[in-house]
Amino acid sequence: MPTARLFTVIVMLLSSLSAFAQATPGEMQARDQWVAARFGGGAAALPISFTLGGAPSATLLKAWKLERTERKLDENRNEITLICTDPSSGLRVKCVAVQYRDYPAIEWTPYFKNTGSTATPIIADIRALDTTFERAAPGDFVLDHSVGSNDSPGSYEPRTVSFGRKMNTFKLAPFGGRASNWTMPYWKITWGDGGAVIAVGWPGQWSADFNRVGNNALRIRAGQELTHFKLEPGEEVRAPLVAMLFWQGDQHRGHNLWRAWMLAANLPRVDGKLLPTQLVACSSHQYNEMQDATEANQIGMIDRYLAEKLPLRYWWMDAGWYVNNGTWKNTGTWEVDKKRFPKGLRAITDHGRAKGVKSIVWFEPERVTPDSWIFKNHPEWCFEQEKIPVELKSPPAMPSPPHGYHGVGNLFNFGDPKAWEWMVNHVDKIITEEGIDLYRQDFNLDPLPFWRANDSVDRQGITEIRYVSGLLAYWDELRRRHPNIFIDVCASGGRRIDLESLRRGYPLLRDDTLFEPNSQQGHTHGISFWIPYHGTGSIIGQSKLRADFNVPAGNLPDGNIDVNLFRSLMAPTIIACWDVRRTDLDYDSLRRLSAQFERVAPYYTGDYYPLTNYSLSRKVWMAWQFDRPDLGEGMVQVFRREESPFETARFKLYGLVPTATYVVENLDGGSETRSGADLMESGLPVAIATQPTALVFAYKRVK
Amino acid sequence: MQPSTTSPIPGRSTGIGSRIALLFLGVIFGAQGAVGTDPAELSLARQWVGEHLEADSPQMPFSFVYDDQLSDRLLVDWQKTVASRKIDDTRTLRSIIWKDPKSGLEVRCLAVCYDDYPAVEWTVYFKNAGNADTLILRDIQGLDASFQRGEKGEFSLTGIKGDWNVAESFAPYRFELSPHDVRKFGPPGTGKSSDGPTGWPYFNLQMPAKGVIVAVGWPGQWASTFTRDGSTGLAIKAGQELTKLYLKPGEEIRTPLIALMFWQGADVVRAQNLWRRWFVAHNLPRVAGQPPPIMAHKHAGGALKDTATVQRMLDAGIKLDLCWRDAGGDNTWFPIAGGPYHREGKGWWNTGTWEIDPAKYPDGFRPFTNWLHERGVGFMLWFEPERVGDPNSWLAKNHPEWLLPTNALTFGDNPSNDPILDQGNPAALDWLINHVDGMIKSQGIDWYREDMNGRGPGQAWRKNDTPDRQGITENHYVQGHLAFWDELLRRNLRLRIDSCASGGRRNDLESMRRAVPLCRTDFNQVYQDGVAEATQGHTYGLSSWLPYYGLSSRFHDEYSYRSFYMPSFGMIGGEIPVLKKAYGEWREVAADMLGDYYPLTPYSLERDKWIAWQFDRPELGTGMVQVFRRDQSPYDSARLKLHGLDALAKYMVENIDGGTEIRTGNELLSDGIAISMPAARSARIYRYHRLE
Repeated sequence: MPTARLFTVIVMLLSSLSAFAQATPGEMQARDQWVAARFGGGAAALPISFTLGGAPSATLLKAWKLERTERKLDENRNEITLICTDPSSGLRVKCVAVQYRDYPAIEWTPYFKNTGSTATPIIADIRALDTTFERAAPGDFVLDHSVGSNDSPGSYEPRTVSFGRKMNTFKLAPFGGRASNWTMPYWKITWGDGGAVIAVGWPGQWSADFNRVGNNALRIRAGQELTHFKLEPGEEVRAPLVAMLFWQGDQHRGHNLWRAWMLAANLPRVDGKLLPTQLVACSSHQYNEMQDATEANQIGMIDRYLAEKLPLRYWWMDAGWYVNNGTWKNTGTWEVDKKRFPKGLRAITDHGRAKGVKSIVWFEPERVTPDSWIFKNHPEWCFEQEKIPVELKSPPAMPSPPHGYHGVGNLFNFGDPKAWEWMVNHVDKIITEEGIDLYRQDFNLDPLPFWRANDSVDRQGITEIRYVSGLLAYWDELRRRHPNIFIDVCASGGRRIDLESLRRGYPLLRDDTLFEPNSQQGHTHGISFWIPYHGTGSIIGQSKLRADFNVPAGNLPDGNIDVNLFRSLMAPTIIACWDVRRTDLDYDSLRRLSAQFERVAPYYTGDYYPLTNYSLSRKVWMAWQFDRPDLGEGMVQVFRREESPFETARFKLYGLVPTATYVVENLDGGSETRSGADLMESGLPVAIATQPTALVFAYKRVK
Repeated sequence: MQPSTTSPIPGRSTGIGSRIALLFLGVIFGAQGAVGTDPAELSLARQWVGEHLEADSPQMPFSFVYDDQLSDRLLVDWQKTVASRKIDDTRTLRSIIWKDPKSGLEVRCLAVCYDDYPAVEWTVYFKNAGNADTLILRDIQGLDASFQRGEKGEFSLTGIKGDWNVAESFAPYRFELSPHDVRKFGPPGTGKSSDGPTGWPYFNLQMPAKGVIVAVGWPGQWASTFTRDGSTGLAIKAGQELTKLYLKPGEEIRTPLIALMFWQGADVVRAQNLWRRWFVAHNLPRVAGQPPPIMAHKHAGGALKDTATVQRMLDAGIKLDLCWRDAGGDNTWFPIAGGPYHREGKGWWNTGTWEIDPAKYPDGFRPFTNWLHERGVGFMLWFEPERVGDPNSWLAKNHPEWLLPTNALTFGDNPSNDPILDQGNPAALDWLINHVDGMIKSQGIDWYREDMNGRGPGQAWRKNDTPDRQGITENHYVQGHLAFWDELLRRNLRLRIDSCASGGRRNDLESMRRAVPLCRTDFNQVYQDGVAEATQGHTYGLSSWLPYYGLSSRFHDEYSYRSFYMPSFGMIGGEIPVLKKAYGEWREVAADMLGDYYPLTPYSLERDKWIAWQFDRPELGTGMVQVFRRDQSPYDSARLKLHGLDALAKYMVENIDGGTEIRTGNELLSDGIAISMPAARSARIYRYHRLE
């Protein structure tokens, strides 16, 4: 084990260098040309739009003077600030852009400020992104996007829209104000031999429109879904962050360059390092979340993991450790329940830390249920569920809430400075006092109806902007006060994993549909196009939480180690929900599989190549490759599902050096030496005689 | 007065229909039938018939509104006459006639109940037996019935898409029907009955432990709606899409033919095979009691000089059944010189003179057909009698009064705007019958091939209705169209008809009782993408519904032409060795394709998939399996479990590319055939027969 750990540490260190897909001069040039056209011209060239007093910005901005300043942020980034002001109303529009030197990426955030002495006319239809791509090459525009997290096997399903004469308009938006609820805010546009990956960073309600213009152009507009407000003197608001990355090459290139940029420039770091790939554990499925948890059983579980020599990195304490009247679903009293934890969580976190196990603790600060401390003492800090008009509560397209926990309670207003300050200070104190290493924030409420219900007619969108700005500032402040903590951004699974959120936290529980192999394969297949780091759960033994989660009934491996299941839900973070209280489990197998996971997990942050199409069918195989060209290593995972009639297949690999030699090892035994060219042209032959079966092949360049 | 020759009794089905059908499927004594009619299904059907057609106050399965009153309230007070008679061993005709004592409107429901299949069908006729115009009759639904699913489970609906000359034609669909869901179907206004994504006029409605197959027989603009209530029920309505009209004295209209087949269990594949068997037994048109045989066809010009290419194939030992004279691009068999369509390859759009071009065929087709008949080969000739594309054609010049103008009548602009010969006009119909019948007889035509291009007659029908007679043009037209085919078949006892309408767009049950589709889709051109995979998909989807169909392959590589094997098969172009191989191996397996159909993989058009199916004739103990590995599939071996076999019997399984093995039925059913296909884009065919 020490050798394996050392190996892992080395791999992790290397991973932080993020030496994967590198930009080509052609890609940099494409980005530079676009930036020069949109940020180097007049105000009217800016890739944004809005109306002011009903007049479109396309007309207004022509007359506004643009000031442009540029400064170096660091070795890899330049900041470009563009400011233009309406001489009559005093509205100042500022676009703060960041241009990258190491990636063909550009990002910007628009700000609107009233510098006048009276309220502005109505500012409306703000599109943080409004741009048109034109193509010279034949072949029409193609949009790749994904279903968001929706607590189903189909979460993260890839979708493709091919624009053409009959398909000329397309719309995307999440549901209910959580940014990746049902729809992901990441898109790849392809035309000719390349394109752009675009993301909207806005942990709120965004929308995007794609319109084919004429035969050769595609106009893309995206931003906060509803903006229609006046600004008071001195008031400033922001719009969503927009990021755009230009790429050239085959279908895999755009996603892999994007993944590399996500790792290099976006996902948060502590001491300059990303969160390592890892196995963490919790007892939620044994102790009914944390409702039946005690200091003794939590320490007992940690010790059992360690006694069985399982590679535990964090001990995860989920919902229910606080005062809650009997169910974790009651939130809003953020005090450790001293009846169960007389010495606080500190006794547990200290115990773990002493043995090299850090702590993750769950919070849900935004949802406030009746009888909680915030509910009773500071109702003025909350938006009330009861005051939402019916028409805002149930829009026609509303998918029914999947679980009882979903949607209950009032919404804590992060846009209220006093509320914000209290929450920052309070959570800061708990983190310090309880010794928390990773702050996990969940959010089981659709905020949009609350926001919309609290906007006046001439201030539509303002409540959401204040809230979103406050939420981001809250995370920033926690990270400022605790530079050594990571954050986990959860929202009933992965329903709020837009770019702004992922600059502050990791999605350690990417969806609430758990533990079933095919759905988990599908989640990994789909989410990996956009997000290089994510986590999901793993179970051994029975679960007490069937009612709350889509835990498959009756067929959980009870004591037996199901290799197919284990490998199906391997991800950069595995959350072990194993019933290690039992001594009759096959711990040898568990240790072997865990060690294999530790060995290959760092590859998940490499380049991603799906080797089969996405499918949830029980009749197919699914396979993918994760490649670390910086290491000359990688892995291939292959799954033959339970009803697949196919017994052998051959998968052509990607990203290898044709002239190099690789040793390919089947982790269940056997290895072969093949040239890169051979693996890429003839492929890796895989035979699987039984269904369902999961295989892992690890490869390493040997010369 | 309109012709009312339409028979409520299925085409030429005879008392021995079922037995012949079993022969068609390959009955031998002692064989086990994998798909048999379950007595419980027969009683389910009988119970439904009892409740809806036989009870004293039945819940009639059709509806209409007359003088703004719903039929179920009206019919109670109308005078009713009921009669039943046996048509043959397996079928009973039940007639229920209501008469409105005030207006003289007579409503006649003619239903046929089957004893050998859990099926029932009916058509409703509306006749003005009075002396004055009737009041307004509207919203006529040939089918208006509700089903209950019980407390648990949910309704679902399966079917396929219609044809619209795309890869997705005939793609299977499945919808779950949750409370308050509404699903609507129908062709896209063209009046072609199986046209477009929602145009396939056959449905399989499933509910827990049972289901019902619904067919709408109407070569016109039909519509159906499946409406879930908020509880456990579902209502189906189906009929001619638009009816709002009065009837003149003596005038008669009809609803679509509605057929229902009840089944039990949850096995949809078995239900579809029961449907296929009923289709063969009681629907496929017959000549001398025989359904259409498998046919090898070949396109030919029809002049004596064209015998050379046929002779070359015959000399090579290729057995041909049919020579097919198609529209022919610019080389038509009818005169087109005066027509307005001059774009290359579009000369055939200049329709309207259904005379043989004497410049090309001074002696007509007779020399050619005589030559063919001496060699046991039939002849099929293409017609498109409805669309009149040439303003200088015989029809346009001599009988403009027979033509229905379209919304945008502009000769020569677009076939979609060409006028339509009104088959609801008795004089036009009479001429058409006599003219085509005359050609059939004089030219030795064995197969009458009827096409219908452009946007179809739908817009012409609507344009020629008055506001108080909406739907009347279509109704008389459809009656005339069916009467035309019936009369051709009556006058020519050995004639067969090929139903085409820009491919497979008019293949409703009424049409399929008179014709088979030999060109099931136009999606077989060399300039179209993914034709082989599309053709595989078409066979996959269509086979659940129609046992007989055909098409020609313009592709000459093995993977492609094997995709085209079907009951009627042909190739266009190609070298003799390739033709000999293709036609030869096709003939070895084609007859099995008339048996039970089992998909062996999911449906897909994707290039990374395999697609496979089995056709099985349990009565003969024979069958065939086709497997296609597409070009981007990573899989190189699979094991496919077969269906319908006798577990205790032994089977000889032969890969037609070489290799045989003897396996027990049980092994083939539970372990399957192990198939290795190392090359991407390859096709395998296995045939098997039971060893005695």
